[in-house]
Amino acid sequence: MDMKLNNPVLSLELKTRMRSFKTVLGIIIYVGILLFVGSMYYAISTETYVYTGVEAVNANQLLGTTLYVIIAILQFVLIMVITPAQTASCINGERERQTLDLLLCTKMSTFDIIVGKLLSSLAYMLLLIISSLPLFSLVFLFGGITPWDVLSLFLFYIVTAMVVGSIGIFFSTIFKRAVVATVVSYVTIFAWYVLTFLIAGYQITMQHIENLSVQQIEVPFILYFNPLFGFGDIISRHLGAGAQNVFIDIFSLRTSSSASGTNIIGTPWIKNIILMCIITAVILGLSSIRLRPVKVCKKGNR
Amino acid sequence: MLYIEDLVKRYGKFTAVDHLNLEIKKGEIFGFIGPNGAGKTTTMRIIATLLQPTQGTVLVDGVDVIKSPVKVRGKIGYMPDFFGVYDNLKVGEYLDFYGDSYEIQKTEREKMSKNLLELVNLNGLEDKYVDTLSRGMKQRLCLARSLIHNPDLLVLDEPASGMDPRARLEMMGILKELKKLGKTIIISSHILHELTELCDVVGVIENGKLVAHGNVDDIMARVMGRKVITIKLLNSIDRAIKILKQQPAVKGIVEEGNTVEVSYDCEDEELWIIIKSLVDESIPVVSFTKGENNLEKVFMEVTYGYEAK
Repeated sequence: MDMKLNNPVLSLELKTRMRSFKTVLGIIIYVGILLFVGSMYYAISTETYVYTGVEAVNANQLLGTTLYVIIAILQFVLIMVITPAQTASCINGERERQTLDLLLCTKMSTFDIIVGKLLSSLAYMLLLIISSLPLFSLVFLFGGITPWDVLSLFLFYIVTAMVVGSIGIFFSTIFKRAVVATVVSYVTIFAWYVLTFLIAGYQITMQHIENLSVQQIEVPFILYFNPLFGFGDIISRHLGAGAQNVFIDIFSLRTSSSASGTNIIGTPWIKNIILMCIITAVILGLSSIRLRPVKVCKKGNR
Repeated sequence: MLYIEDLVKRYGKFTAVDHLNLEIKKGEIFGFIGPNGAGKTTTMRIIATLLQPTQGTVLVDGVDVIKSPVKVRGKIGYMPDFFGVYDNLKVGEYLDFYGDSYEIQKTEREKMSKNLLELVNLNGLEDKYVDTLSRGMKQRLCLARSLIHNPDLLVLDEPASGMDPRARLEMMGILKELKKLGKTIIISSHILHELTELCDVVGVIENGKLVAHGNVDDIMARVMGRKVITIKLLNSIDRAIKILKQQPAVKGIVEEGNTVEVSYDCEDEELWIIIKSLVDESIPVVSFTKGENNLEKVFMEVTYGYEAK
């Protein structure tokens, strides 16, 4: 039982990573970017509100929610950029460092190795996200956003980091060079986002053509595979009743009763999280098969 | 301990290991020699469950490396020819990590780490960062790592490569200690006279085929067609040659200054008779050496054809 909970690769990665100056520098740069953009927006918008004469109470709430959206989007983009870069070098990094063989000839399964690598990258991402918490707390001062909103957003971030991280790991088992694996990971993630929107757009268009009298149609299932759609949903929910998911607006979609919030499992961002977890599990399984040096098979069947 | 039958490994059209058969008994030290690209590392990687063979059977203590790789991993300690270390990791933590990876309990691996660091002469360096160690130290640490789970079979691919003479001697000393502890070892090295000292049995591999296999003298006899003893005399060379020619085991004599190289065909138990025949006739024998660098000669002989291709 003890062994199942223990992952030597995770312990090793955390130990070596936390001793590296690069980790500290990464946190400083990460929080620095968020702080810079946030304070720039604050400075500009307070000036603007003075000139436009927005009422103080409304101005504060508007400032708080907009600041929240800006920081949330920026953090989402940073996670998308940093996570694949972290994971796309984890297996081929071991290969380049000539430590992979030593790891593979231990009793650890390739799945344990892959999971250990992913968890260590997620732990780092979690550290970055937590380090941005004081910045998010500032938003509470202006009102409009609750701590639960921030927590659910952080959960969404972690799941998103998990899925894009697993894509990075998969390519790190395929390509020997970290740079190639990183570039291919970015391209794949980009293609995933764009293609799901394109396919959804095509489906919607076809439905409109088939039935011209329908003004709004249901959200195509493929959109739930896209983290951007889930992100748009979670942000719109945090902004309150008046706000609508930007992608629903773009596609002129109709949200079903379950999607509008009566059933938590049916809400788009929860559906999105569940699908991302399934995708992660599949990718990790494939990565572990790919990493396995000897494929267990019957004799004469190699 | 190790049984290999009809092992083949192909990379496309290139055959790295070609129908290799080999058996190593428990407690034996087997030396693997052959030129670069002969198939030594490929064979060792297959034994270490790091490479899928195209065909054949490899059993480690009766366990198939293909059917039960995880079980085999618990029985072997593998040291590759090239390996790296993790940055920001201390010597003690390095061994602890691998111990943990072999599912050894914390208290047990702490004890093992201490004993192994003592065995490889790295005691007291537990808190030193691995990346700051010298190459020789790293090699010894890697050897300790391969022993952390107390394996029955050690697979050592060029364990002394890139080491200075002192570090090499230290490494060989440790391997002799392991031999005393009864470990079965399969070792490849380019420092062939070290293998002569250490190994019970050697195998010569060329183009993926095991061209010679047996103890050093047998191999020498098979590959070179003779066993050799070098006798250094003070004088009376002609008389000595005359006496030696009368010995039935002597097959040939090459004279070189005060030294004669005698080819013979008998076991060690009868070898002393040749020496005695000289001493009995008051021939001033200064020294006698049983074929120095025998393996190097074998290696050169075997690899000559390969290089010529």
